[in-house]
Amino acid sequence: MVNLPVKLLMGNEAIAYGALEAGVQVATAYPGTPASEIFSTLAELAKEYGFYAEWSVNEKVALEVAAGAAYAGARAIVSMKQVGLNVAADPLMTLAYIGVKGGLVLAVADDPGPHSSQNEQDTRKFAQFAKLPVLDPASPAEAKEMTKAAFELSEKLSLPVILRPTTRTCHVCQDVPVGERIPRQTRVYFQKDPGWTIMPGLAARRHPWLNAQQEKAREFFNGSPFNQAIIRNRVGIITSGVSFNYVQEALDLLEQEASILKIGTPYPLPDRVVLNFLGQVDRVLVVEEQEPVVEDQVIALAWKNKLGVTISGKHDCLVPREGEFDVDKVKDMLTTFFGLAPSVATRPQLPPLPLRTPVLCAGCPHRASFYAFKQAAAGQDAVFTGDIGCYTLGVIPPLNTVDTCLCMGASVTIATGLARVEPARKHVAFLGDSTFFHTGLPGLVNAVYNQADITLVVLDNRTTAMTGFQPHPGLGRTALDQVTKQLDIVKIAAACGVELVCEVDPYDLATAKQVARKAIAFPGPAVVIMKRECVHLVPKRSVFRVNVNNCVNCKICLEEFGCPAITLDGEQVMITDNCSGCGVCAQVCPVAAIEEVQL
Amino acid sequence: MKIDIVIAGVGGQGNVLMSRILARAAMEAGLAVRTSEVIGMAQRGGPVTSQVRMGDALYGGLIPDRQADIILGLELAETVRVLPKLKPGGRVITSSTSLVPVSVAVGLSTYDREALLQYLQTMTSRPVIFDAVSLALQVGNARAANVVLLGALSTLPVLPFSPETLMRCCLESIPAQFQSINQKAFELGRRIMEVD
Repeated sequence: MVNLPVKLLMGNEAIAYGALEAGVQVATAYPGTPASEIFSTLAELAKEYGFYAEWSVNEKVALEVAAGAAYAGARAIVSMKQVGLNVAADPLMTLAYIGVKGGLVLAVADDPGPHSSQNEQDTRKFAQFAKLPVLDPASPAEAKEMTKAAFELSEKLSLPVILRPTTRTCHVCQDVPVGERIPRQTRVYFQKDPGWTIMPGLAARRHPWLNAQQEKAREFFNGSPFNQAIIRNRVGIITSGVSFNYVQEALDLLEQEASILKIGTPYPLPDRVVLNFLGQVDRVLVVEEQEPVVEDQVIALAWKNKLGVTISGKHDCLVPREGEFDVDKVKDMLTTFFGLAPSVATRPQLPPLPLRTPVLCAGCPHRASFYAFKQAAAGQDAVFTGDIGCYTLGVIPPLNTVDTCLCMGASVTIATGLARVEPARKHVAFLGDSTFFHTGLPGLVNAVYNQADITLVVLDNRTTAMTGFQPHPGLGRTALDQVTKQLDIVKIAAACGVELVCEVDPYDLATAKQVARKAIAFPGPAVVIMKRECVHLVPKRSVFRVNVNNCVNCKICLEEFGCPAITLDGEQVMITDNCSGCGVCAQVCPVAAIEEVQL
Repeated sequence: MKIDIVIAGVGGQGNVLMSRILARAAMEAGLAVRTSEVIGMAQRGGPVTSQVRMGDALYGGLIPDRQADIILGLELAETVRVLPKLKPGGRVITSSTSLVPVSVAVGLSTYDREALLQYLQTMTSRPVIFDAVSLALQVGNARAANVVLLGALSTLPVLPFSPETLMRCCLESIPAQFQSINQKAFELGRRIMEVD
């Protein structure tokens, strides 16, 4: 065993290093928590090792670019979060029929909890649906090994392979041994063949092949080191992904012993491994986060083989199918399963704690944009549709300017739909700059083509802020920091046929309000681009303070504008060091009591 | 040997960086490590909890309730929020910094600083509570409050690495132009504990 250098790696970084070691040649992604760092690490490595890497405009595009590379025999990785896979679902379902030549790995991060997502969907179900093998890492070190194995498997089966880490693998750091990049010998060349062109006839022929590949994948997984049984006694626990860690620790805490089967490859389930385990136990508890993917397959297998073993889990409500697990939750599940007396230790009664929701940062230009539109629409019964990004936080009081949020790009289409059925109301859709390119654009084209009376506000803060400041086509900069074409949202909107397109600085509140009023009043689709860099991208120039002699304590700055830098000192409104110097509060103040202090 | 540390704070305080520094120090001491945090939405002024585990028999990245040896706090209310993680007899080192969220100003919740302080003092053994932000300002940058706390932590004898190792890992994780400020911040943190 060679002594490899050990690095402290986050699970996402470990996946990137796994891809590097496997000789990845193309990496694509669209950012999304908890997956973003997979690609940002790959982009750094791409600069160093010279492979191709791009932030794509959305997940469907990212998957298709990666698939093209894999058609030619290159190894490609595409990363996204669970909801991103929905955007990429269309190519994915057919890609399974077409197959790939070079290894194609989809790293799709799930977010049970959910900490930073609009749903808790289980990518393992998606893998089953698409008939693609899926690997479920329990730790960063395992995520790295599984990434390498996924490339191998993808080439052996000619199928894309899904790696599905969850938040507690993605954002856990571990000491991980890191090896060298293994250069690939395969010639990258797209070999023309009718098999690359899906037609009904080809789809019909490939479906039996795809089904047969399920059994081949199962065979590989039967021999995979990622599935391991530890036999201790006749009580068994089958567990998958991060739950494996919680099961081990909870057993220690409870001072209990059980046989454990760790499943690293939840679909297709390694049947021989599971049957062998089931034969050595009398009863089994299946512990997995989210959907009963392993459990359903275990039940089917036991039934088919007429095994008398009792199987507990989600179907008898011992294991929840919602939310994230932790050691304490798994300990409770095991306590019930073992029939132990529940622990008497209760959580301490804490004093009342402040409600601390995430908020738009102090000086965030989005706050000014929301405020301007709210003021401009005052008295008009307007509906504000929202989208995915920092600006979803416009829903938080006191702004309350997000009435809907569904998925990337839906603000414009939901507004369009609402406008069809309530023509007397005004509909204002908010969308970020990255989201505009992601899936906002088709919605805008649709609104123009079908002449919907909506206002689309592009909150252009010159970055993809929520996920960590990634670039997009509006910035003139690639993932590798190279200068590229800068796509102008004003020109694009105009080219789409929008007749009223305005660009305004949200920090200039008076002009912003004026433009907002004009856009809302405009019959037919209008686009307003609220352009101002994210407060984290620019150094602080000055700060503002409350001149207590002028302040009448009306609290408009605090209670209506709601900047987190504005607080109360006793009864007096004051501005904290948190101030970024945007100066919008000074414009909000009706008595000119907020003034600038130069740094 | 196993040490579990919880770091509590608000997005933007340098909480996650602290977990990385501690993990690097533990690795230098030849220990296995796990850290865990959630970022994304929580970053934007929401509560952020990092967890650091070092030593033998490490399973996942999440510390169970009543298992943490040490809680490091960057904000008073957030320190109290994670107290159910502290094991009986575990130590708390926290800044007395209060970051009052907008929810309090708009009347959706309350922030009772005195009640929080009193709770910490009566419910934990020998809590160390001091204003890490003013100390950091003394050396020239409020953002070094996290390093002040690491300095204070470095005096605890249970740590599996030396104060020198921890300080070196601190400085290696911070841009060069801030090194002298952070070195002073670390020293100030150590001095607080001598007084204590």
